[in-house]
Amino acid sequence: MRGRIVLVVFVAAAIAPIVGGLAQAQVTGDTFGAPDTLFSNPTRTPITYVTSYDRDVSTGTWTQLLSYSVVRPHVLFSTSGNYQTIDNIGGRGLGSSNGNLGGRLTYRALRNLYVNLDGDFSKVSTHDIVSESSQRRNRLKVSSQYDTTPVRRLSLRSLLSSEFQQDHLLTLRPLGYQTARTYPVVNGLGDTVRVDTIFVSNQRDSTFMSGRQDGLSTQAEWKPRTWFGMVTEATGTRVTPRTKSYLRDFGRAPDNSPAEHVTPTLFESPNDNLLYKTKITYTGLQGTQGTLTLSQVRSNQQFFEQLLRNQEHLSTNQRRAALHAERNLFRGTILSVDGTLDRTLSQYSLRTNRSSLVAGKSVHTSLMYLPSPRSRAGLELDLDDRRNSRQLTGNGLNRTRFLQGNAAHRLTRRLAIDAVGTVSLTSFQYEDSVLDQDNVRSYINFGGGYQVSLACSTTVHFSRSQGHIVAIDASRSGNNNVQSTYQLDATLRLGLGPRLTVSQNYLLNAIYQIYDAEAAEARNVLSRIRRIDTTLTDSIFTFATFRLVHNFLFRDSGSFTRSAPGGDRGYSVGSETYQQSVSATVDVRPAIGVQMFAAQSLGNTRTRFPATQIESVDNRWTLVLGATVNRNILGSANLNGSVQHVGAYTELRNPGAPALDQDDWIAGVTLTKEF
Amino acid sequence: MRRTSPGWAGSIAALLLGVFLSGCFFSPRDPRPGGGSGVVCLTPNTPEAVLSNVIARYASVAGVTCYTQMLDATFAFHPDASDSIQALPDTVYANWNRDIETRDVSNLASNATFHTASFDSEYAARVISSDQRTQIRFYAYHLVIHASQVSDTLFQGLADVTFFQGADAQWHITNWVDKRDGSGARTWGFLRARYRVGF
Repeated sequence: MRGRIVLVVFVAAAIAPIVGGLAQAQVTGDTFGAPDTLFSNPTRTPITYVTSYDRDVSTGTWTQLLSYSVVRPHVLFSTSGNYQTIDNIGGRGLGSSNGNLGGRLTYRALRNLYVNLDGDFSKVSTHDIVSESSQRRNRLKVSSQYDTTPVRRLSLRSLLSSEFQQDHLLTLRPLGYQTARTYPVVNGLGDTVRVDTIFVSNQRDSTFMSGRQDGLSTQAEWKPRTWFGMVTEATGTRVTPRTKSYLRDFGRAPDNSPAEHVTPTLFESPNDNLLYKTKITYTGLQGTQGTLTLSQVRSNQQFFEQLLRNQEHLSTNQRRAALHAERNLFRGTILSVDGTLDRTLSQYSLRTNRSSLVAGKSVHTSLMYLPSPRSRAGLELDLDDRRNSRQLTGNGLNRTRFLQGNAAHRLTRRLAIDAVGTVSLTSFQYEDSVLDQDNVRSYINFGGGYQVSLACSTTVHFSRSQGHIVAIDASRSGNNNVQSTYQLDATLRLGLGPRLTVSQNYLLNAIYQIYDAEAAEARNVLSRIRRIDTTLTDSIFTFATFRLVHNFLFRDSGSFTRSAPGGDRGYSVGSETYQQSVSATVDVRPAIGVQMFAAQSLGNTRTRFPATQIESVDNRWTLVLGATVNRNILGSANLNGSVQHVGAYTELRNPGAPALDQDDWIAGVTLTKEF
Repeated sequence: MRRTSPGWAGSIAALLLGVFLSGCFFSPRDPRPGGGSGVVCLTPNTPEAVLSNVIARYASVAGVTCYTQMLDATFAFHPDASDSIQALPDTVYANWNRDIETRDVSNLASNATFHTASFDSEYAARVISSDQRTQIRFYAYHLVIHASQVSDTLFQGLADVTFFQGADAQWHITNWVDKRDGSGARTWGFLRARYRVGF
C-alpha cells in the first residue's frame, strides 16, 4: 500500500509540470548537492601556484593559478583563483584581463546535514586606446542540505540557500561621431522648464546591481526494484535585484563649451527561476535499458543592457522530453534509439529582435554489430527537425537527415579492409522562401591496409563524395551545382633500420563542379591534384634527431564545358600550379630536460597559365631557431617552457606585392610550485 | 532445414532499410522554374579567391551559398572581447561555427538592402606555415550595411583570418578573430550578433 502511494506521488510529481503547462530553461546535470562520498577520503592537496606566459605573433598572455583543498571527516575546504591578462601585440592598445577567486567550505554537522558556504568573485575587463569595459561579479552563498530516507528505497534531499549578489558594470565608449541629444529639465512640479542640447561624442556608464537570491531545491530518488528507478527534482530561486545606473553623456554644448549630462536610473524587479526534472530508468534482461527524462525550466530575468543603456527583461520557457532505449538483439548486436522533443520560447522586452520560439524533435537510431574483435559494422540514422517562429527574420523549418553505414573486417593477421558511406540532406524551409535551400551530400570510402611487419605497412583507400546545392527560389537557383570528388589516398610507413623511418602520403583527386542550369555551362570547372608528402626521420645519436619533410602538390584547373549542346564535355586547362616545400629540422638534447632545435624550410610555388604563357614563381625561406626546457628546479617547482624565433623571407617578383617578411618571437613558459 | 543466422538477417534488413531510406528521404526539392545564370563564385584555389568571394558575396541573397562555401567545416568565429562582455549575460557569441554563420548570414542577407565590404589593408605581416598550407592574415576592414534591424550602417575593425588548404588543395577559412580598431565604430561581430536568433 505504501509503495502504491509512493508511486502515485512520483507519477504526479513527474507529470505535474507538463500538465500544468509550466516550463522551462536550461536543464541541469544529475549532480545534486553534496554527494555522500564527499568526506569518505580525507585528503589534502597542497597549495599549488602556476604562472605562465605565452607569446605568439599576435598576443601575449600571462596566466596565474592558485589552488588549495583539504578534506577532513567533517569539513571540506577548497579554493582556487586565477588571473589572466591578454595584450594584443600590434593591436593598437587592445587587451583584456579576467580573474576569478572562488571557494567552498562545507561542514557536515550531522550524518545527513550539510552546511555550505560558497563564494565566487570575478572580474573581466577589456580595453583599447579609446574605450574600456569591465564587469565585476560577486557571489556569496550560504546553503544547507538535508538528506533523509523516510521509507525504504526512497531517499529525499533538500537544499535551502541564500545568495548575496553584486554586479558592477563600467563602460567607457566613444561613439566615433557626434550626435545631438536633448535633455528636458523639469522643476519640482514636474514641468519642463527648458531643454538642454549636447552634441554627444562619448559615453560613460556605471551600473551597480545588488540583491539576495533565495532558493529551494528538492530531490527524491525512488528505486523500488532492481530494474526500475525514478528521480525527480524541483528547484526554484527568486531574487529582487536593485539596479542603479548612472548614464553619462559627454560632448559639447551649442556654444562649443564642454558639456556633460548624467541620467540616473533605478530599477527594482523580481527575477525567478523554476526547474522541474524527472528521470525514469528501466533495466531489463538481455541488455535492455530505457530512460525517460522530462524537464521544464521557466525563468524571468531583468538585467541592464549595456549597449541599449536600458533595463532588459528576458523571459524564457523551455520544455524537453528525452527517451533513450537500447537492447541486445542477438550476439554482438546492439540497437539503440534516442528521441527528443523540446520547445524553447524566449521573449525580450527591449531587444525584441532576439525573441524566438524554437520547437525541435529528433530521433537518433543506431545498430552496432560487433561479432568478434576482427569485425565490426554499424548503421546510424539521424532525423532532426527544428522550427523557428515568432522571429523578425529566419522563421521556418530546418530539417536534417543523416544516414551512415560502416564496416571493417580483418581478413588475416596482416590484411584488413574497411568501408564507410554516408548520405545527408539539410533542408532550409523559410517562411521567406527566397532563402529556401536543400543540400544533399553523399560520401563513400573503401579500402584496406596491409602490414608487412611492425615497421612496414601500407593503406589504400578510394573515395567519392558529392554535394548538390539546390536553392529553391528562381532568384538563386542559377547557382545550383553538383560538386563531385573522386580521390585515391595511400600511405606508406617504412622502417629502414632501428633509427631511420620513412613515411609517405599519396593523394590523387579530381573535383568536378557542374552547374544544373544549361545557361551556366560556361562556369563548369574541373580541378585535378597530385600530392605526395614525405617525412624522413633519423635519430642520429641518442641525443639528436634529424627530420626531413618534403611536400609536393600539383594542381591543374580549368573549364570543363561542352563545345556544343548535347556534346561531350572537354577539359581546358586554365592554370597549373606546382607547390613544394622542403624543411629540415635538427633536434638536440644537450642535457636532461633541455632540447634545442633548428628548422630551415624553403617553399616554392610556381603557377603557369597556358593560354597566356604567363608564369609566376614565389620562393619563401623560413628559419626557426628555438629551445625547450622541462626541468624540476628549486626542489618542488617545475619549469616548462619554449622559445623560438621565426624568420621568413619571400623573394618578391612583383614590386607591388605586399611584403611578407616575418620576424617573430614566440615563447611560452610555465612555472609550477607546490607549497 | 538450414536456418538463416539472425546476424545476417538483421544486417540484410538494415541494409535494405538503408537503401530504402536513402532513396526516399534524401532527395532535394525541385527549384522553381525561371532561374537566371546566378552569380560568379571563384573556385577557392587561392586565399585571394576566398577573400574575393567573401567581399563580393557576404550578406547578398544570391551569394549566400558562395560565401558559406568559403568556410571550412571547422570554422570558428571569435568576437572582440569587449563585444562579448557587453553582450552579457546574453551569450550570443557562444560556439559560433559554420552552421551558425550560415544561418546568421542568411538572416542578414534577407534583411539587408545594400552592402559593401572591404578588406582595406593588412596591419601585420602574414604568418605562413612551413608547408605553405596555413596562412594567418591580419586585415583592417570596413563594412557598410543598410538593414532594418541595425541602426548603424558602418562597421569596421580588425580581422585575423586563418586560411587553410585542405587535402583537395582548395582554401577555406577556418578561424576568424574580430577586434576593435579604436575608432569607436561597431565591429563585424556586433553586426553578426544582431542576426543570431533562435539558434
